[in-house]
Amino acid sequence: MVIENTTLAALLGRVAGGDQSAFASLYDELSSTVFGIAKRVVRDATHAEEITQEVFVDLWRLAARFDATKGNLRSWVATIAHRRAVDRVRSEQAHRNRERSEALAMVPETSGPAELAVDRESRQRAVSALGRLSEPQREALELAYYGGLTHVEIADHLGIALGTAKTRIRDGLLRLRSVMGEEVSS
Amino acid sequence: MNQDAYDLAALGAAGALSDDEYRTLEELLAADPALAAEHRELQMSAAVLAEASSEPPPPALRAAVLDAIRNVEQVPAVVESTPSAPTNETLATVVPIHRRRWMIPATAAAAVVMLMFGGLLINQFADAPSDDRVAAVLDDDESVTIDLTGSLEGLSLVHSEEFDASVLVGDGVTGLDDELVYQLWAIRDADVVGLATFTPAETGEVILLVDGTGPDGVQFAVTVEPEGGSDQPTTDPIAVSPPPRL
Repeated sequence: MVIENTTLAALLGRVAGGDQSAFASLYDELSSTVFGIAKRVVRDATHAEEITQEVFVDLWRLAARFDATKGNLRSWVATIAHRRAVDRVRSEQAHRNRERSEALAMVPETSGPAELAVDRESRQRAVSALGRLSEPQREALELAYYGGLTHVEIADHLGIALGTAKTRIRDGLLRLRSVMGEEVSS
Repeated sequence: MNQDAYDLAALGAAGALSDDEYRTLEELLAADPALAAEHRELQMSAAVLAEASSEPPPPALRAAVLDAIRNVEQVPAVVESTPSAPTNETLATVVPIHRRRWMIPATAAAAVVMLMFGGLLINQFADAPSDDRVAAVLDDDESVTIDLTGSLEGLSLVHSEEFDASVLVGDGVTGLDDELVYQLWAIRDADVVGLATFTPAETGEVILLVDGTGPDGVQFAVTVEPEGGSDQPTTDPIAVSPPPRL
C-alpha cells in the first residue's frame, strides 16, 4: 500500500511507452476496483464488463497524458470508472425511469476465488473507513455514489431539506478524507 | 473562499450533481486552481466507496481487454511550451523560465546529485563549480519549469536542454522534524532510483542540481524518509512531476 502508487505510476510510465506486458500488470492491479464500482452502479455484470473494457482501453490510449499528480492512481481510475458508470445509468434513465436507489440493495458479492489478497485487504480498509461515518452521512453518500442520485433527488428520496442533504454529503466526504489521512500518517 | 463553489465541488466529487450542475462546476474548476485541488482531493476520498465495492471481473475479460488494445494507437504526451493555459487538464504544466526568475541564495551551497540509469553516468560539467551550473540552468532562457504537485507545495524542476541538467528549486517548502528528510526519486520504466535527500533552508528554499537529466522519460517524486534516506520509498509521494514525455 505504502509504495503502491509509486509502483503503479512506474507501470503507467511503461504503458505510455507501448509496453503491453506492463499494461497487463496494470490490469491485474486495477481491474477489481474498476469492475467492482461499475457493477455496483450499473447493477449489471455485462454492462460493467463493457465499462471496464472502455476504461482500460482509455488508460492504454491516454497513458502518456494521465497525470500522476492527481493523486493515487487507483483512486483516479476508480473515479473515471465511477463517472462513466453513472453517465451510463443516467442515460438509460432517460429511457426507462427505474428506481436507482435500488442499487443500494445490491450487496457486492463476497470474495470469489479469483480475488487477490491485496484486493481483499484494500476493500476491507475501505469498508472500515466507511464504517467511521455517521449513518446519515453514509446513507447520503451511498445514494449519491452508488445510486447515481443528485443531491436534489437524495433530499426528495429521504424526505429531508436540500441543505441537510448537501451537508450530509459534504461532511461525509470530509470525514472520509480525514479518516484516510489518519491511516496514511499512522 | 466561495462556500457555494466548495459545496458544489464536494457534491460533484460524490457524484451528486445534475449534468447542468457539473458543467457549472467544471467552469468554476477551470478558473480556480485551489478549488480544483480541493475537488480532486475529495474525488480521491470518494473513491473509498469504489474500493469498498471492489470485485474481480470474470477471468475472460482480461484476454478481451488485452486483445482490444492491440490495434489501439496511443496518444503521445503533449507538453505545452507556451504559457497559454493547457486545453486538457491532464497536460503537464510547463512554463518558460522567463516567467519566473529564481534567485540563488548566496549562502546556499547547491547540492549536486548525479543521475545514473543502467550504469550510465552523465556529467559533462564535472569541472565547473556546481553553483555555476545551477546558475547556467536557471539563467538559460530556453529552460522549462515543471511544477511538482501534491500535498507538498513549492517545488519545481527547472530543466535546461542546452546544459543537460535540471535544478530542483523550492520556495516556501515546509520544514521537517529532525529525524526526517525529503528524498527525491527518479522513476524510469519500473526503476525507482533514489537521487538525494534534502531539507529546505529555514527560509523554505531548496536548490538541488540534478545533473544529466531532464523530464524526458523520467518522472520525479518526493517522499519523506528517515534521516539518511532510504533505498526505496517507504512513504507515499507527496510531490510528483507529470508522467514522463516519451
